[in-house]
Amino acid sequence: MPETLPINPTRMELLKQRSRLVAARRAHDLLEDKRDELMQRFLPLVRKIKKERQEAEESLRMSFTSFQIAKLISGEKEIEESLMWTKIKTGIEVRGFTLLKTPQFTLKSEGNLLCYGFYGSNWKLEHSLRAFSKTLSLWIKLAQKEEELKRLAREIEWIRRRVNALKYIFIPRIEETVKYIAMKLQERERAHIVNIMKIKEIMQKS
Amino acid sequence: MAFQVDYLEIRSKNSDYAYATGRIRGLETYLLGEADFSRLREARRVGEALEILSKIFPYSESLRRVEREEDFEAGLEEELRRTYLNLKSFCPEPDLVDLFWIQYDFHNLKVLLKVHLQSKLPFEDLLSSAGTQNVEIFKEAILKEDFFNLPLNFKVLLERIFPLVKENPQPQFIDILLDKELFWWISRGFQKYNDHFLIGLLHRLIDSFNIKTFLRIKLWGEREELYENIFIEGGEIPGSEYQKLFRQPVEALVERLHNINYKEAIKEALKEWEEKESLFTLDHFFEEDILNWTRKGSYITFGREPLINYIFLKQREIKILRGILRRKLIQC
Repeated sequence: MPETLPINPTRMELLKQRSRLVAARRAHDLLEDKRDELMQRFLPLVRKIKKERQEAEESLRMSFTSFQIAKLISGEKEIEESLMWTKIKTGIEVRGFTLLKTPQFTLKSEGNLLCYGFYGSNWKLEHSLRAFSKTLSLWIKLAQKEEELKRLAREIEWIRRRVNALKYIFIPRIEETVKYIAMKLQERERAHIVNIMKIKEIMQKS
Repeated sequence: MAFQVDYLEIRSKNSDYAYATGRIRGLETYLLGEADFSRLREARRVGEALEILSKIFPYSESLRRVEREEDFEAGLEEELRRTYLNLKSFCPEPDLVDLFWIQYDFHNLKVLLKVHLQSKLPFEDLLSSAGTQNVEIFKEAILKEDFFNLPLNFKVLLERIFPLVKENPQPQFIDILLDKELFWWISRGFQKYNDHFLIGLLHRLIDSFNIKTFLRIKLWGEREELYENIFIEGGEIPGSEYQKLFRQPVEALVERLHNINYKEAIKEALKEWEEKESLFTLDHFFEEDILNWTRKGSYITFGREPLINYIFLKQREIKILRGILRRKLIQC
């Protein structure tokens, strides 16, 4: 049984609580619509991210395999020597934010990937470095989407809790309060009528 | 009167190499056969493969110090070093043996020069012990810029290249400069012997490097103007002509070559590149081409050829072993 709000049962309060009830119902409907809308975005995004994660993992695996094959062709020390002093600098830059405040990254690379000679290295090394470069951008995109998904999930959870709060606590409590005030006012009116009738009877007797 | 060839005039019998060739024939029996490779391929893990290998001579000696499975490269490097010392101990021309191991000295020079110019780099594990010179001497000479204890030819080399690398401290510049010096060194060393076999081998080594490098730059779409001076003179196509070929489609290389085997190999490589973005066929072709040339050593009674053939067979054996062991490591 929902509790009533601790207020004075006046007509003014009744009007105020009624308008709060209308607002709460409207908020509930809006939040429910928003939750449904976010859920519709959430599930395809989960499926998309699952697929992209598989692709990124596969790409990473292929890059490592390529790198191992490069070591197989030329020898580990030769490959390590080729890459001991690299000239490429890679960083990320925040481009902007989405509606859910997820940062949008841009991968920035400066310098040449090919920073070694050709005798101790081999074509597979170029292959693996390019593959690693592609893999990195895939992982950055994936991280962005996973963050978006996390924020979306948090948002859905937040809305769901508010919808439930409105539906099972806030609205019933206001409804109960409105009902309580209305009852009180009716009771007061009836008492008032009884009083008037009593006064009228006394006056007629006298 | 019939023309008679004096027995001693036959080139296939360089009697200076009589003892050395005998030793080589003995060593050839210890080269791993297809059955050994099959056993290694069938091993489930890299540790199991190393266990099999450590029971076969001469790897039983070389793999002794390998403590972790992943460090198998150290065992293979030790085998290279032991082969070098062994061949040099009985070869009548030890300088010739040096020419096939000098690449490991150049590798150490590259590592140490990069460390000297960019001091924060970790380098101890990258140095090779398979070179002809002691790594510690190189380390002291380069890191302290004191070339006093170096052998004369290395001293001259470092005195020449040091100002150049200091002026242009770029990793790729160091590598390219030393690659050219390496080929120049080998080419000068081979020409000293005035031997048709060695000259033929040198041409093949240069062609292999030039063609593979050209295709790597061209097919990956690298900025060609950066790589104009990297080709080595002395191959089928002069180094300077590759620069002109850069401005033409890649197929122009096929037209320019005279060697029919090269033409076919490059055509196949381009086809493979289009289908799989791979140049394995080309690598395999040049490896086989060089081995076909050195294979003459199997038919010559005494001479340099059996020695050089053995060196290339040994290097290929180590490459196959590296391939098998690394594949096992990837599978783990």
